[in-house]
This record gives sequence, structure tokens and C-alpha cells, in this order.
Amino acid sequence: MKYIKISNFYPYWFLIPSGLIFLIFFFIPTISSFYFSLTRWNFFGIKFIGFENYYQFFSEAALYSSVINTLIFAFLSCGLKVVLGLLLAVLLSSNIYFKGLLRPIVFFPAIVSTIGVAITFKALMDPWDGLINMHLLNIGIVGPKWLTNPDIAIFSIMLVEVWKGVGIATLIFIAGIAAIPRDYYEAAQIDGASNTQQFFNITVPLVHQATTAVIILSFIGGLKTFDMVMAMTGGGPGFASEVLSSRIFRDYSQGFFGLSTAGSVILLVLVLILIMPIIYFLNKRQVEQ
Amino acid sequence: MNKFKKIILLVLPFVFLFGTNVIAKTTLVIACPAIDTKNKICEELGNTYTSKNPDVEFEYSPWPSTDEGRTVLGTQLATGTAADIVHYNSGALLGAINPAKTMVALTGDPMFDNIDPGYLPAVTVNGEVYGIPGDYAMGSGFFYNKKVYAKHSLSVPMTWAALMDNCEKIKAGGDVCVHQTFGTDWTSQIVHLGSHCIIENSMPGWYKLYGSNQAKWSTTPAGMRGWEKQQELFDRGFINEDHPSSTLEEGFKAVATGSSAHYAMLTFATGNFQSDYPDQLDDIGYFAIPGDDPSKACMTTWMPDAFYITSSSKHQEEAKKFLAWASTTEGCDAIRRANPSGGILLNKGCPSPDDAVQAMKDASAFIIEHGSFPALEFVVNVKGPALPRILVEVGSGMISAVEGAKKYDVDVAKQAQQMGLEDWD
Repeated sequence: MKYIKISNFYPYWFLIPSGLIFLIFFFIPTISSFYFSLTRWNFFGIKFIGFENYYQFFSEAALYSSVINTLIFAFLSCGLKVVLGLLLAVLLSSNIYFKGLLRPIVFFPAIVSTIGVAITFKALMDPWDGLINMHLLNIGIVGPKWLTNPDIAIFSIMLVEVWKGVGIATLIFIAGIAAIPRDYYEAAQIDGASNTQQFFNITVPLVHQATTAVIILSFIGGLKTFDMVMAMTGGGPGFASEVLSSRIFRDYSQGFFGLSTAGSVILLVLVLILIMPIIYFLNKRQVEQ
Repeated sequence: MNKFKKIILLVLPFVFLFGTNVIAKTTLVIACPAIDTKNKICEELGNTYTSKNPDVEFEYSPWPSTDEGRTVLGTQLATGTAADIVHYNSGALLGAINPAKTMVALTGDPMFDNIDPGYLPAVTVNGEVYGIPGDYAMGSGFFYNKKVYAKHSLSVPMTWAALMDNCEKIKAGGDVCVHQTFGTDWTSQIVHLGSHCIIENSMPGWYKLYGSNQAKWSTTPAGMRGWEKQQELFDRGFINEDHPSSTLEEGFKAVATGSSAHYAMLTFATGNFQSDYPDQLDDIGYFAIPGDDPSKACMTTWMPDAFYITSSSKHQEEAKKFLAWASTTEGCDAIRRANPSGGILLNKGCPSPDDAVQAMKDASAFIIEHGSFPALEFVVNVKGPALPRILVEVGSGMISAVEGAKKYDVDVAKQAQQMGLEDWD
């Protein structure tokens, strides 16, 4: 049919309220941020300066470490959440004792406030008075300086993020596993497939949708991580655990609004560049199946 | 009759609204930094003023004393929603919030007859004067524990080399020489910033070159000394092991109890010693950051925060009267009641009392004998925001003094360009 009947427009009226909200609070600010990123914007006023902010942002020595830290954080936390989440989901979907108790325990960290988790772990990970290193010392191990050694600070924060975020990944995987028909497993058992074979040939391929969801959620979450880093190290020691969003915030808190807007635009572009191929790749596999 | 009632009902709220305002007292809102000692000063000044002028009352609206807090305050000022009176930094940070638009210029007001003229440059931007001091001036240097000094039979060092000799002996005796507290990262700046007076003594007027982008830290040997001192403390193992996570309060504790011999901090800390370590007050002494030539020794000073009147205030006349009163000896008496540690006040006719805390007496005596000069941020309007963290890197051996200085030169240029300063584009 070539013509759309007027009455067919009727349902679209219902989109207007949410469309307006999207336009005013998301679309317009995003577009205007492109303009503001080209200005020197501070308490004195706004002045158009072309691409100087981008030049400034890219010429800073701390930029590379912050981009690398962001990538390390996103890739590792995402990978660990997928692996640990899937394994925990398999464990918690099997017939084990206390399943009803264990499931909430695994999920519990996800409902605690990030700042609370960060402050608690900052105290636990203190190299001199922290509980973790004191326990390690009891069994004869001198623990690492989790948050004060510049080489490992970002990894320590990443581990805490995994501890906090793995509950959600597990939940999504449990749902994915529950949706797999039992017939496949029964058929495989009759054919004599071992548990490992069943896991790799049935569970892993068939929870694919859950995997996609977990990867995309935790990867984007990792790229824009902020609260955990700010509360645990403030980007320190020095600049060792600085990530992109903490840098953007720092420029903002100095009153360099134009510069920090430019940083946000760069973060947006980075997220798009990294996420688009992942979504494309994951969806393609799904279609093939 | 019905109509009449309606009119009465309509008019009545307005009568209450405006009528009460005419009768009511003026309420001035003071935005004070959320720091205990500063809050006490604001409240003591406000309460004393109200007791003498019952028609003026005060409300207090604390702002978090951090970079973010300053941005929030700056935004309030820029949008005209700030308090009537603001207790805020003097020096470079005042220039950063565009006082020409946001604050009321008080240039030439008779209240400045009560203020030490040496203070005015710190609250002057583009020729206009904006504030009166609302706290103590501060010296910079090392607090040292006199018991530790007695134990190793040491004397107060007048040169950096002598301090290093002392540290060598303290370390050999199994004690920690200097406590560093990088867990509170701004504390990393004291050794470096506190060396400015020595730079001024050896190269008078250097700050003018620096402020106009004609001199850099990394290419000025006298300027490099502050960075090198920070590195040397780490390289020679003179600092506490837990320096990366130790905090300001732990620094106070370390030097008060003698677990570390020195702690580099501004003299405001005497107030903390007085409230938290009253029994150790006589054990704590003070000397300026030493240089290389004893004849050029002097103390770098920090200008006190100031009270400013915001241009959005609806009670500017009342606020001016309050500031004029706070600049008198009655004002400085109130400050002394709020914080009795006995610091230096820049209001005229307010000498340091005889019962000052020992470390404060040491600091005052040092300034009288050797002279002083304000820190760099009070004489030039640029200060790089990354300085604390760069000095943490230098002070914990992550980068060298030269690398740190170069990094900071870049950071300062960034700040200047973002503020749109001439000479830096």
C-alpha cells in the first residue's frame, strides 16, 4: 500500500510526550555540547576558539594514560564479568544445596551504593592497616599495595568493580540458562556427552543473547566508569589511575567548562567507535544462528 | 459584602508578605567554607555583630572547601544566586571567579584604613579592591617535634643541607624524619610553595617574569630547588613508609606525638594542635622551609581568606556595614575568640597575643627576624590545578624533579589559556 491513512498516524501522537522529553533533555544538550566544546567557556563568559580545546585535550601527557586506563578497565572488567558471571550462573542453576540462599548473596553487592563499596574497599585495601593485607600477613604473604602502587591501582579498582557488578551478570545469565530447553541436555546425555561438552556445546551457544547483553552493558559501564575511581583513589597516586571521565570531571571542577565538554564529546566518540563494531559482530552471529 | 470579603482575602497575603518584611530584621547570609575553624569564625563574627545590632541577623550557608565546591560557588555567583557575603580565598583563586561581575568593589572604602596595606594586593583584581581579611595570615614551613630534636641533640636548621644532616641522624636513630601525607593530596605542595620567599630573596621580582610567561620553573635553577627538595626527601628515604595513603590528620598526629620529627604544613595547624593535642603543645616548634644560604632565609606567607560582598546581594549596604565592623579590633577580637591559637591578623591594632601557641610564637619570631614574602599564588594570577598531584608524583619517586617541573609548566600554561590571560596565548 502506497498511502498511509490519516488514522494510522493516530498512535504516533502517543510518542509526543516521550519524544519531547528526549528532545529537550537528551537530543538538544548533545547537539549543543558539540558547539560548547568549541568554546572557551568559564566564569568570564563564552568565546569561540575553534578546535583549541581538542588540541589541548590531546596534547596533555596524562591523556594517554587516562585512555589506556579506561580501556584496561572496560575490557578487563567486562571479560571477568562475563566469565565469572557465566560460571556462577551455571553453578547457581544446578541442583546444589542452599541455592535459594546463594543467589541473593551473589547478587547482593549489586544493590549496595557504589560509593559505599568504594569507601569500604579503600579501607580494606589499605596496605598498612587494611584487613586484606593483615590477613595475608597472617598466612605469611606480604600483600601488594593495592591502591597506592601506581602500577596496580587501576587493576585493584577494576577487581572491586567486578565484585560489585558480577551479580547483575550472573542474574542475566541465570535467566538465559533457564530459557534453554532441557531437551537439549537430555539428548546430549543420551549421546554420552560429558558435562564439559554440554557446557561448551549447549550452554555457551544458547545463552548468546544473555552474553551480548552482559558484554554491552558492562563494556559501556566500564568505559564511563567514574564514581568507583573517584572514591577509591581520586585518579591517583599522581595520575596513575586516571580514567577519561575523571579527567573530564577535573577540568569541569576547575571551571574549564568548554574543555570538559570537549572531553565528553571525545568520550562519546570513543564509546561509539568501540561499541558499534561489538554490537555489529554480536548481532551478526545471532542472525547466523 | 461578598466582593469585599474576596478583596480582603486577596490583599491579606500581600500585607503579610510585604508588611512583615518592613518590620522584620535584615537577614544576611554568609557562605563560609565547610571547615570547622572557619565556620566558627563566621558564626562568632555574626553573633557578636547581632548582639550589638539586633536588627541584623545572620544565616550561614557552608560551601565545601574543594575545587568542586569552588566551582559550585562560582556558578552561584555567576547566576546571581549566591549568599550576601562570601568567605572565600584571596589571591589567584579570587581572579578565577571574575570578581568584576560577581563581587562588589570596595575600592577606597574607609574600612581599608583598618587593614594592613600589604594585604590589599591579594584581594585586588584589575585595580579594584574586593575584600577584607576574614582569618589569620599563615606562615609556611616545618612543624618539628622538640622532644625528637632533644633526643638526637639537634638544632633548628637554617639551611636545607643542615636539615638533611638532621634527617640523617634521625634516620640513623630509627625515627622517621619528615611525614608526608599524600592521602590528602594538597598537602604535597608545602615544601615547593613554601620556597617562594627564598626565590624572591635571591631573584627579586621573579614572580613578575613568571606571571607574564617569561620564566618557567624547569629553566629557573632557583625555582627548581623546591622540586628537588621534594624529590630528595623521597630519594634519601627520609619520609614515612605509609606516605601514599597517610592523611592530614595523621600528619598532625605524627609530629605532635613525635612518631615523625617534621611535618611541612601551614601555621593554621596550630589551631588543630590546640584542640586535639593540648598536652603536646609545648613539644611542637616551627621553622621556615630552609634554603641554601642562611643569609637569605625567610618565611613564605599565605594571605588569609577574605569576606566579599556579592553583587547579587539585596542587602549590600548592611553587608558593607558588617564588613566595616569586622575590619576593626572588635572583628579581630571575635576571630581570636573563635580560634585562640594566636595567629597573625592583618587588621591594624591586632598584635599577636602573648599566650599564643608555641609553634605560632616560633613562626612569628622567625618572620620578625628573617622577613617574609607572600606565596606565588598571591602575587600572580595563575596556579596550575594539577600541582598537588604532580608533587605527589615527585615526592613518591614516580617522576623526577625536572620531569615534574616541566609537567607543571604545561599545566600552568593550560590554566592561563583557559582563563584567556594575555601573554599566554
